[in-house]
Amino acid sequence: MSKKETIAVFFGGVSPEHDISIVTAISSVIRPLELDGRYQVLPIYISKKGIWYSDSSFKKIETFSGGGISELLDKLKPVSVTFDGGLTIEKPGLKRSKIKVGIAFPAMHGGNGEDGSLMGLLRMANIPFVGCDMPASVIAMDKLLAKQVAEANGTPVVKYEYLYADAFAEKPDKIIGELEKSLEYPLFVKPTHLGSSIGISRVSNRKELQNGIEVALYYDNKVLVEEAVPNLVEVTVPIIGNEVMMPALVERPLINDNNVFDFDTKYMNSGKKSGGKHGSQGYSELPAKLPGKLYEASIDIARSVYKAAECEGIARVDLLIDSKSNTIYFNEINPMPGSLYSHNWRKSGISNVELVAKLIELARQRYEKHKKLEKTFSTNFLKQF
Amino acid sequence: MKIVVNNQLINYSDEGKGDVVLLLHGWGASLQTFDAMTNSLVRNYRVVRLDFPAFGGSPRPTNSWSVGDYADNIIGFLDKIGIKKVAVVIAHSFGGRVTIKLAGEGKLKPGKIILIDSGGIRHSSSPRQRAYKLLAKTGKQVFRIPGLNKVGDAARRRLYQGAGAMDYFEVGDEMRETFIRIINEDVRDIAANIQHPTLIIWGEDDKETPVVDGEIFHDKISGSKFKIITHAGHFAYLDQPDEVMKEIESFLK
Amino acid sequence: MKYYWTCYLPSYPKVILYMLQNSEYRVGDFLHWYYRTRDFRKVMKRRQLIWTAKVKLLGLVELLIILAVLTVAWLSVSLSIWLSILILLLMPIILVYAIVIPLWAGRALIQRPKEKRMIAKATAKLDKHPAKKIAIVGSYGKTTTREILKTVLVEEFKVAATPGNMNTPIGTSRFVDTLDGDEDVLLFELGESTIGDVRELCEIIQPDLGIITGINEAHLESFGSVENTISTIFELKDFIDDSHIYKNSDSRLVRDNTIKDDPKSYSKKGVAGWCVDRVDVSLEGTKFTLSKGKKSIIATSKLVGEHLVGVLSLAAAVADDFGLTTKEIESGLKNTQPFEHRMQPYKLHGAWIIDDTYNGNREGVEAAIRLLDQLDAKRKVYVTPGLVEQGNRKQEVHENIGKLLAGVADVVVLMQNSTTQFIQRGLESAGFKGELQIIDNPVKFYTHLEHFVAEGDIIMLQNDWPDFYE
Repeated sequence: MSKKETIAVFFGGVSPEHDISIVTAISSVIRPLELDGRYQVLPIYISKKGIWYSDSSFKKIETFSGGGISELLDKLKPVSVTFDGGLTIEKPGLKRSKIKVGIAFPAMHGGNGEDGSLMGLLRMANIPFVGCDMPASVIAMDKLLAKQVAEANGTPVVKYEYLYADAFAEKPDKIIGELEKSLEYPLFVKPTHLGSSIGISRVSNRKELQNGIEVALYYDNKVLVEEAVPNLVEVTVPIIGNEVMMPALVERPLINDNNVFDFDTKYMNSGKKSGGKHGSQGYSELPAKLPGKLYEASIDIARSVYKAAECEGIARVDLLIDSKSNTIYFNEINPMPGSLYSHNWRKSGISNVELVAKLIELARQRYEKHKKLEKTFSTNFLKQF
Repeated sequence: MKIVVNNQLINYSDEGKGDVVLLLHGWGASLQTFDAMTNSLVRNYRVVRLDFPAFGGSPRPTNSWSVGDYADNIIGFLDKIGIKKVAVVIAHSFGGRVTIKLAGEGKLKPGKIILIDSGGIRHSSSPRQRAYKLLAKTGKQVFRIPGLNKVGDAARRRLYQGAGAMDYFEVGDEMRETFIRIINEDVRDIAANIQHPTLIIWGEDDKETPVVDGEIFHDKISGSKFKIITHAGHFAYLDQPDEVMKEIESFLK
Repeated sequence: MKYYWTCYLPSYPKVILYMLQNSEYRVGDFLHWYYRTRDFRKVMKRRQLIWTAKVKLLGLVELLIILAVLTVAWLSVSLSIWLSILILLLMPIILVYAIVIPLWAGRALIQRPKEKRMIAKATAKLDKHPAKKIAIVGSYGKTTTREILKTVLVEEFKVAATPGNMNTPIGTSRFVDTLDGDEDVLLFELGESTIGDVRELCEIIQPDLGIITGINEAHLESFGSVENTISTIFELKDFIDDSHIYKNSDSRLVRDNTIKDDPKSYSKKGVAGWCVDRVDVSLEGTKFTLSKGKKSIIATSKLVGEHLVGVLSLAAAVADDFGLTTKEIESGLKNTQPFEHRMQPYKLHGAWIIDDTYNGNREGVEAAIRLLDQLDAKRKVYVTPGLVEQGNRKQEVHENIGKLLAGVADVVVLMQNSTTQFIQRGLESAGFKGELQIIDNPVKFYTHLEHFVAEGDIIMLQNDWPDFYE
């Protein structure tokens, strides 16, 4: 057998988006990688309890969709990880195997994975990995921080305020009063760190605002409150690239029942049953039909934020457009879009197999670039002791 | 929609205008099992449904709960969303148990009560046995809901998990304890205090809470009406939706 | 020898049944395949064994054979332990030969005489049948020709045609048995793989009109030489006057064996006085005009590819001969549809897939590459495992495919096998600048095609390759 390079695909995780991550990893990463054929794919599944497992059956969605996953996990032993100047995964069991990971492909959504923590680990291991690096992931996964970065970059954002759990517990009325003074209803209340739409409320009065903040605080210690955009058109722009960026098509998702941007969940619900046309039809307008220069302007803004937040590899930039005033606001960045947004890339002329190949190439480029910057430091500091 | 009630996150839905109808689901189910019923009721009522903590979109409580805790949570919830008067409570299985507790102890004074295959009668078989049986059954039933059987596998699984049906032995000791506490609490004597007009609906083939239980409640709740639905099991409102809806409508007239 | 142990796997008897079924119980083909197989774990990859009554019966026979061999081996222990070991070592081979015997016996004693009676009956029935009988002969393009003719002629006539691949004497006889007797036109597809095949079929059919659709190196192994193929196909002349045989002059080997300006030769330029003009090929279909004297036909078809202009013209000419009006011919041509897995375009995630997987001959490949060249696309992808049965021309044929592809395709996807290196060499020698992918698991590739495509692609899937040949 020829020795192929091992790509470790990380998915699952302690996050509300655990299941979405499984779908992303298996259908949009592992399968195309296997079809590409150049790599050995090592699936690393992180359970809801945060335990790392690896088993070849994880390459199939049936393992997770058919029930019986908990029984399987009971039988399996967790993997162990060695930092040996790289990353080596050791699978326990009768035939103990040590697998040296050549490249990592994080396919995780939400906290503890998409938020930069896994990227930090992979940086420490000093191996190339796909997608945004740690700083960009940290910025992207904090809705408030991302807005502040965009603002500093000169990109319009909707008017917002934020609050912390401790302060709110102390003086809720004072804080609500201040929010009402500086912002105008209707408002959106969001936990700052969560992906997808979990914990987000749209509120139109004081009572709802109070309840919305409580819900957001249930999930997070920091809450973002922002004004709703009138005449709203939401669009999203997936981008790949490091220094050189390549945007896909501007896509306009349809709004769900709760008037909250919830595209990834839509994907889950729509499933793949609809003749393979999921996403591209019925759930979104692709490409978005935007009047005049708005289409190009959306891409420009998305690119500018992608760069400002130092995104690399892949990310999806969500924008809010006031269709009367033609103002485009930056909303948020998703460093690991659900299913890589492969339906959009395909429509843009990039097949699933090509997409993962490109992402791996970008990961290598970045790794090589970083390597060039590395310098060894020798000091005499320790000698004095 | 979500709301926090005494540090417990509650997922709920609030649709329509008019008098309030509160729908309370069974153990292992979720508010979604009332989708069809809501679609009929929402034409004339404001229909409020919630997921009991540990089910559907409501996370499980951090400690073990009794029926009383669940009942108090409902009171807190109604207060929080500003509902003062509940015209009708329609409750299934475990929801029925909670309703009997609420109404029998005077915590809630609904205009009318409809109990469907209600829980609350303690039987002599071991709780463990019954736990297995009930969970196996409810799990299956949840996916007979129209619409739900069409959703993607992944979503279905997520719902399944959320419903707690699949992960019963994974949910942790608190939930297991909660379950044991709940099925050991017999509410027939509390039911005797109920003075509100009550309709009791039962599936003829109900094996989880047999028709005998219904007869006991019928006997205990003075002036109650008792309707047995043929060709229906524990989930009478899913097995014979039209039949059950007809009974509900004529009772509410 | 390294894999001889795989003959002792529990799945081995099942693999034998599978090979029998997939070689259609032809003993020669089966044994040929058997001796080429090394690792018996790798045989049952593409399809499943279907448990027909025949398979079950043969399975039972296998079981009996194994039991018998084991008993003999056990009994011989007392004679010599070495004899027993030898018997056990030979068991897989004994099994293969022993299973062939009942097949062979059944064929000679029951099937053959029955077939002879059927053929005689069919010959007599056809002799009295008033219909015009058209014999379609050729190494390729027969099914397409038959279907197009049928589609056009049904505008006016009651037409019957040999279904599927029932093109052997026995298949033809079965078909004749189903005829009502009042058909106006009968279309026969003649299968040929050895000398005398066309003659044998013509003796049954007694055709009035012949069509030679093309000649190439197909079945070279059974014919022995191209010359034999040519003479077999032209056996048609012994039954029909040359002036009643249409010949596809787009095919080089047909052209070379036809007199110059044969009035019955047809090609993409026209046929029998009809001239082709204004050809327009797209994935939506093919359009052109046909004119002869004052008559003019606007031909539109859903069929895709310039290579079909000749046969569409032929159908128009035959229909005109048979007295159909221009309107009827135009309407008949309009009804022609792509055949399943033959230049059949469909959309997948915004990409055009051209399914040409049933097309496994050189002419088809050339036509497909030409079509790919003519079409506009963001990315042109050509997928093929190569061609089978090319005999000693294997290298030349595949290098040529590579050369043709080099200037046309952006991506070439090859299914790893013995032809891969030749196509690769052809690509290299013609300076291919695109991307080359070599796939070692074709099933996986075809079933996950959606992962390989994107909007704006045209993907030509050429010739699927049954494991029979692997």
